Amino acid sequence: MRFELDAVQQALAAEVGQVYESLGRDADPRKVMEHLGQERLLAVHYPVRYGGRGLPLAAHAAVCERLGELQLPDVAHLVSVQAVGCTILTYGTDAQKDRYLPAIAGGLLFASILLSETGAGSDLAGIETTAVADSSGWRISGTKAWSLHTDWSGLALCSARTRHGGHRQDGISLFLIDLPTPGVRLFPVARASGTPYFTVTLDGVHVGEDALLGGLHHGWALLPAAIGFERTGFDYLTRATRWLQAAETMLRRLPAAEQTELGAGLVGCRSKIESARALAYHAVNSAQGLDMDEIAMAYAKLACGRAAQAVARWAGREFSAALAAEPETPEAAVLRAAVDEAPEFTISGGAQELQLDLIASEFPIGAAVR
Amino acid sequence: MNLDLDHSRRRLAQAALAAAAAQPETASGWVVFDAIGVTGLLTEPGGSPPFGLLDWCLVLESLGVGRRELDLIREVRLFLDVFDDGRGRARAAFAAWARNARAGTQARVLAVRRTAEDGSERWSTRGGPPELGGLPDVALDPAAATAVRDRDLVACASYAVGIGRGCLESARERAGSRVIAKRRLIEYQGAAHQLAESAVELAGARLAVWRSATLADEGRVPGYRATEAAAAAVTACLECAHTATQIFGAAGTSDPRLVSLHRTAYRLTAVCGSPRALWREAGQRALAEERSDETQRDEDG
Repeated sequence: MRFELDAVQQALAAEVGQVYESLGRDADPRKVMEHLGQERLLAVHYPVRYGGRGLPLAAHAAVCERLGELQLPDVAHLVSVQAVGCTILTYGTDAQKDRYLPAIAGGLLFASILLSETGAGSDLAGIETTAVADSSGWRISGTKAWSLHTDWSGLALCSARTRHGGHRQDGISLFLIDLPTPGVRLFPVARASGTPYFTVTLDGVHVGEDALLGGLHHGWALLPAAIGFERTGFDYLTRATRWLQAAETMLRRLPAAEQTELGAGLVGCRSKIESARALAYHAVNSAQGLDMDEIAMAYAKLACGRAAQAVARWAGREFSAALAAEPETPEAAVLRAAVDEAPEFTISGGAQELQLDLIASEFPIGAAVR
Repeated sequence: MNLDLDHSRRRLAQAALAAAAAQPETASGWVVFDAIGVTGLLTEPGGSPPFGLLDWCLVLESLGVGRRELDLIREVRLFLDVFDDGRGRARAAFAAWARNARAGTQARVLAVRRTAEDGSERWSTRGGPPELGGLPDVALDPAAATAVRDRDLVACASYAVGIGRGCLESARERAGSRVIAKRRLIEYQGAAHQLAESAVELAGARLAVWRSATLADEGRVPGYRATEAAAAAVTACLECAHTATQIFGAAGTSDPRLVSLHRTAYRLTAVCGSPRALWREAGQRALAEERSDETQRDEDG
């Protein structure tokens, strides 16, 4: 048992830091990602031929954590490398892998997932988007929702109904859509904090036969993996850590007696973050290749989200006067954004109800995390 | 970072559960521990103790799952922690005590501590079991005394995790078998999610305990983390106890085993402290330790 990163993980985290520092802290984040890609740091768990280093998933986790700490676009990275890239790596054809993976690992191609719809958020079988075969491929039509960083993306993983089967899960297929392409329009939807969501309309978008990912009509079986690849919670974890650092800075400006009053809350937040971090690493450590235990993932994602929410709520309650004060300090700005952003964490990347169901389904309960 | 237990520790945890299953329900924690077969390792003369705090925590969690009586096994661990200097005398005395204990010795207290105003402690076996009576007193300076108290707190916290786990496993079993309106209780989100929330809380508490124990075994000072571990463990234990009683409904307040688990969870607040007091103390210790570190850094340059 070890509560610190191993030597390989520490070295990778240090490498990420060195690349970041070498470009200067004001560098364009996308340029930083390109440089990290050149050093094969963005997808170290991919095979070497696809731009990785052939390392275990646990090594990649250390990179993800460091990207978040440096406030690099970790969510875009997570969706591109994990949700889309790993799905291609696992289920794609050799041609799809050769075409997309080196660009994703190289930081040259970002990708989005177009799975949710306004009536099908956590219920991904409820989609109404359709794909109709034509002479040279497929025509996709529908409206997708809650997509992030789509304006950066040159690729989207999109679900569509290709037939009405015997049950709701039958007849769903997955497609790879190059962006931008005729028929695709993006509509930003402002969030309380951070970059916007995008509503994406698909109006008879044409894709070739080679755009199909996995078996025709059988995309449903791929979805748990596609979503699962991004469900370790490291993006939440790094936010929790950053928010707590800001809160601690504010706490230390208070008189000693007030600091003492807040000590219990501070340690409670730290405890949640450290345990969530251990659970997140446990989930990636126990993976067989890219195949993670879904119950361990549920613990990790839920614990990371809850830890971040605990920090945001605690800081929002205890430092409310400082958060409202003008001029705003950098720490107050961080915490105000935290208060806005934290409620999303039990919704995005898998609704907490599904994670709780998974955890409760285990018998004996708790075995996945001991 | 890796939570996997090595092979020997996994076997130890399994052996503790197996020993508990093989002993009558009334058998104490010490009897179950002795039945695992590791007492001999603790009494071997020479060398360092083969049992680290993390090993103790694994066993104590298993004892908690079966709600075995904690007092005597806690005394044993404390005695070895304070008196075992690796030179063999305390181990030989303990071996004699263990032999007689198997034959029915009823001693409940192995050593007595006296705490001075400055926090230093003097431990004595006089007045305890005759096998231990010849050992010299042990004096601990305030820092050493705090370290002993912290290790004891972490050990008790692991027992609390075990009580919580016992509650949760019983509740999960009940929810999987009880049928209400043609559906198993676990199929109702109200029940399933309460179980899952408690499971997440308990997993976090176990990690806090293991983190503190690992620090202690590495020769580092757990400091406030020991109190934090106890706070997390008692908080989770109480939540799991409430969940179990809720899942069992009226049966939970009439089933002697459930009633015992519930009461044991609350008794732990007397052993470890209330969650409120523990979190408060952990916070105070954390801030004090950080101020002390800052002062040290300033002095260093």
